Amino acid sequence: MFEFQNVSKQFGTTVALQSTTLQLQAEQSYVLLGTSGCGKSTMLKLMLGLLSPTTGTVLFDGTPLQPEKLDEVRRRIGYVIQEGGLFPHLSAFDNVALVSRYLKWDEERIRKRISELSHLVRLPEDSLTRFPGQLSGGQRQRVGLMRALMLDPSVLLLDEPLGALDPIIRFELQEDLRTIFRQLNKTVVMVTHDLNEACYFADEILLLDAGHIVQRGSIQQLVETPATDFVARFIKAQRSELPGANA
Amino acid sequence: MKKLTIIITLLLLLAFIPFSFQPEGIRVGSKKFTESVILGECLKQLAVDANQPAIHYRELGGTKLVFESLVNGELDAYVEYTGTIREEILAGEEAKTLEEMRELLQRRGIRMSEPLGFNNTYALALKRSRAEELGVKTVSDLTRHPSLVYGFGNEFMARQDGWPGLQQAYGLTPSKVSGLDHDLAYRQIDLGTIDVTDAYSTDAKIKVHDLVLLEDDRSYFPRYDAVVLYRADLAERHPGVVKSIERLQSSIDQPTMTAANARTEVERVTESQVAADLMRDLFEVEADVKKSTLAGRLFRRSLEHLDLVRKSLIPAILLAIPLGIIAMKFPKFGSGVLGVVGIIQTIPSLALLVMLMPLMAFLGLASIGTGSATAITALLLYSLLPIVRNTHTGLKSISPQHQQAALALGLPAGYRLLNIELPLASRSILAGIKTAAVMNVGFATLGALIGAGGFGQPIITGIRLNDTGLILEGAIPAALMAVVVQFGFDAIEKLNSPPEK
Repeated sequence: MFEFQNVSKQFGTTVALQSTTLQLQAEQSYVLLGTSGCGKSTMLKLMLGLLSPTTGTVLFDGTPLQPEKLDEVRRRIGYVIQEGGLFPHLSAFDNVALVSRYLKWDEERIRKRISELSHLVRLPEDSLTRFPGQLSGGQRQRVGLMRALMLDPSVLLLDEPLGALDPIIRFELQEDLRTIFRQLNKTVVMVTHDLNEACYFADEILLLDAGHIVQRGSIQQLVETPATDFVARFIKAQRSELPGANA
Repeated sequence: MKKLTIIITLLLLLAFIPFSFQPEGIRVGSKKFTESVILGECLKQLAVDANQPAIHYRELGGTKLVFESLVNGELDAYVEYTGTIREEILAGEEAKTLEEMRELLQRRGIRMSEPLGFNNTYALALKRSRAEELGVKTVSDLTRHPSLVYGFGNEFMARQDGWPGLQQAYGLTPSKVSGLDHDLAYRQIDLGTIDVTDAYSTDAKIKVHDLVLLEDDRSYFPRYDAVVLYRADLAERHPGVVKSIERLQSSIDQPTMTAANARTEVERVTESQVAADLMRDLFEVEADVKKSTLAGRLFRRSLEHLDLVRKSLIPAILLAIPLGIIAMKFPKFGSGVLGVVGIIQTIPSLALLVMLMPLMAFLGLASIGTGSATAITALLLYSLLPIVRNTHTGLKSISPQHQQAALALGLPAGYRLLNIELPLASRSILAGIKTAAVMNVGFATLGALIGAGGFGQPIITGIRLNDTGLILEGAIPAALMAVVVQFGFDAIEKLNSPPEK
């Protein structure tokens, strides 16, 4: 689905992503895991063409990203960020409908699709008349997910989608997300710094440190055969958050 | 897109549906001092006496503006002074005699009447008490008192035949000289903040403020004989009017003119009435002087003022928002745009009006009178800065998160701009429009400098006549209108902001 060929990204003199080559398969769930500043969000933005690589080529569906075709590619990708990235001047409904209106869907079709989606993400339809400022963090995130799913994209990219939520809402949404991913059978790439979240969602984890992928594999592989000292320490640090985890 | 087209069309209709019509007739003008206004009224009444409707554009902004209007055909006639013609209008052309002046004016399509009979020259004036205390009788005497403070009208400060020449001719070296509005100079001299000012020799205020005129012992000041300047084609279009106006030649002597000025300035008789009385006494011409009511005046001026505001503000909005967008998208061009609209803001209004006049004449647009394209363009230019700047800032301050969310949706630039970026920036843009609108209501008083009326008219008349009531008659409604505009935009802002709870 996605392919990086020697892709690197620099901001001024700071290297955000060192030269990376990788392939991500369709219908798999990937988690880009790492501490802040490790380059995981940069990778996501490179996939969307929100950033252009300093060197190398990013391919989507076997085709290199080209500036003139970016909009088309982006409409085949759903992108969810913290708080959903909703536009405050539009109601939840209008946020979700934004792109379909540009594509000139008729209103009936838009209503039908949004009704479907609200069931899928378990958000009461009547709350869609509200504005983002009137919704809770969890509701905003569900609306953000609806917007990302509106055109039924084959890929979902999620950048810390649960980052700003309090624990209970976070837990509920986490469960719902996994159900949705299973149901829809989409390629999912999620960015997080949270190991538990990674375990929960990922078919495969890509652990990043200082702009390069230090290990790629299932959670068992990361736990049992950490590739570097960093991997071992990263896992140990997050597991020890739970009392008795070291026992 | 359809919505946008409708909005723009509605705004343009709102801006340009006419709600007043420019009256037709002989167009006479006058400058910002009482004598000029009275003589302008005389011209008007004499034209009416020759059975032609006439309009008097009173208290226009200055010699250059009035004379250019005459040359452009926006005015048909006004009263000027030979000294001003020689030193200002024909500056650098060495016209010594009346015949030479007439010849040079003729080349511009302008004719000059014979002198009207009085000489209104410049003179220096002091408070009588101060002059007696110092023993100053002539301009030469001033050289003995270098500590005196001089305050001159701005025109006198700048004119070749004003202060610069006078200073040289007498070798005056005062400690302090400042330029100020001539009407304010009289107040300053009353307060004692200045000692010496310039005055006109037929000025009623000499008596009111108890001033003495210093003898011009070196005959520095040239003669300022009043004459009528009129367009050569007026004689062809309306020979009767020219004949009627020519009756003024050699008919008003200095005491008559001074007395007429005093009736307006001291006794508060309107210029129209003074002119009517003068015309009756001199030529047995009966003029119908209409008395206006306060409500009528307020209504008319509100319309005139609103007309200036809408015709300048709405196009300014439609121009400034795209400029702000371009400035945002092309930063290099943008800093240029922001620089230029910033500089425009610093140009004094009269200078801007004078600069715009030839351009408007070239475009065939009217400068003088209600709906003056010059006044509207000046106001439009003044309104650009806050809107351009706030559009630019508003777009620039959209959070990177929202920008990327918009990009990631795969919407093309134009659609993003209209549906996401401009709405997100709308709070800032509206604030800019509000600032521009409130400023515009204030600036629109400049319309009075160019005959476009509005609340500026009673303000300049009030300053001229030292009449606080008249100043307030313009200032209070202008302030009220600004407040109403402010509230109006506050309401729009409230409607525009998305609900929070």
